[in-house]
Amino acid sequence: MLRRTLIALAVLFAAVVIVLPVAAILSRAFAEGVGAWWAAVSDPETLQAVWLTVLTALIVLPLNILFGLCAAWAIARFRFPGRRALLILIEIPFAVSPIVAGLCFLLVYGAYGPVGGALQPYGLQLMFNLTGIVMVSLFVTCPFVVREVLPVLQVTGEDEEKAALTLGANGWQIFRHVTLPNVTWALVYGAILATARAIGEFGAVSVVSGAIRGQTMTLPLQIELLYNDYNTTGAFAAATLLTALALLTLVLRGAITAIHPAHGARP
Amino acid sequence: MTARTLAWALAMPALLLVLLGLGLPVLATFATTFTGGEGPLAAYAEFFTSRFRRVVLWRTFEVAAVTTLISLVFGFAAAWVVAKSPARLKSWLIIAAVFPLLTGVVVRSFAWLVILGRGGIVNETLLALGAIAEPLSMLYTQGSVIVAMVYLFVPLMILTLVGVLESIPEDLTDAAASLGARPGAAFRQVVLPMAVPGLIVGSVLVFTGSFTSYATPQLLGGEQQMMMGTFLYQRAMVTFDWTGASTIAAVMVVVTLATVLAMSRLAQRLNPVAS
Repeated sequence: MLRRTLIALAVLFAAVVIVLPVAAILSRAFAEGVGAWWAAVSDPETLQAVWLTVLTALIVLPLNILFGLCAAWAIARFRFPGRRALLILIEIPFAVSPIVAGLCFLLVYGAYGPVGGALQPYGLQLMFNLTGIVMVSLFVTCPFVVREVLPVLQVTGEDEEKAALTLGANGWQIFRHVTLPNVTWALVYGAILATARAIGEFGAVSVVSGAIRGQTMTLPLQIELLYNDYNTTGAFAAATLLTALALLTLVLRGAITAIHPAHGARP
Repeated sequence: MTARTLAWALAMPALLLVLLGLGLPVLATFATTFTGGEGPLAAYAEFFTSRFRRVVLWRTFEVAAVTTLISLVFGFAAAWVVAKSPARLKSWLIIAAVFPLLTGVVVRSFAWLVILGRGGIVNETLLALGAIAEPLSMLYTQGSVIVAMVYLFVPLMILTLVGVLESIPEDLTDAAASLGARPGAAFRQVVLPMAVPGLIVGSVLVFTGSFTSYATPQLLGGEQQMMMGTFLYQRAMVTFDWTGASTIAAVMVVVTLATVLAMSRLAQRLNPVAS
């Protein structure tokens, strides 16, 4: 009885909350026909925004995985002074609004900030370009992997790792053959969440990108710009591109599962 | 290498990133709030004596709290179903949960413009059914912001909880059942306590996400439903009031940090596994 109620709830929720909005976007994007949609998405400015968004995500993803795994393992498995402080520090990006992060970065790394000002004479500009967008994207997404991997590491405990240690495995072997398989899915979830966030980030990027048309517009910024220009078809067509990027990420995730069938046993 | 140096070496990349990427900028922002006004605390005095600013702060807190509660209920139910489904169905359900998440905050908020707008799907349906005579104005209300935020953040809750619910061995619930526990009791006394870390992680994600959001209140709340994020943007990028913007930022940081700390402490107290 409980189970049926839960299933009914989940299905209802999926329909209302997941299917409906996507359908809404598609209906508005194709309201004037496929031709209008195509004209809107093949607009050079929109294409440039797509490229910038993809590039940012590709730079941020590997860094996130590295940072996240290292930090989660250290926190879960070692007792050292400053451990709790580290946990809190890593939480900070979640506690800080993306828009606050953008403001903070601008105040320090912008041309009038202490760091940005010091780099200015050397012709180095950190804000209002790809560097700034990557910096804030990395910042807003860095806790995701830690947050997903850490609870799983805590629940699985360290018995298996200790067993491997007594069998003579070194640190890397333990990590590769014992720890990593246990957290693979948490890691994949974390990486997906982080990438999705990097692709869709709006608040932080809107402050540091400088919003230069055709140059530093990421896809979400471009969508708002088009909407404010009363170009509804353009805005919703660009929104379908973000949806398509989401689909691509899903396909990649499926490919990972196909390559490592051992991990496929768990979803 | 001792365990301690290894731990520090592992933690270093993330730590450096957070310190350089955040410690420094946040310090600079906090410094601005003390040096930018008439006196050291003038900016805060101005913030808390202003009725308008208090209303914005309270509204933001309320929206975030309601969003978190709704997401907890729906997210747990959904995650439970996902975790208990056969492998194949589970993959599809996870795809369904992940998919909207991947489309980003602007797109997802946009969708609700279409759904809740005057000529939107909800109004069209209600009109066609004869339930209403005139289109309801649902946009730019607290309700519309909350609906969109639940939609925005519930996948985070689901994904967090699926990971945790799956790592609870079935043996434990089986053992509880064999010892005579009814399903409800086994759920309350075995599953729920073990899911606490996940519930808290999920709540932290949802609460901080909704408390600090900008795009959703911007698109669906408008001027009438101004929240901390939109208020900050208006101060910084429209009126160029850096001190005012930094003060709003500082208040946001303190409120969210206090919430995260309180929840982490609660997690430690309730978590039967972690130290």
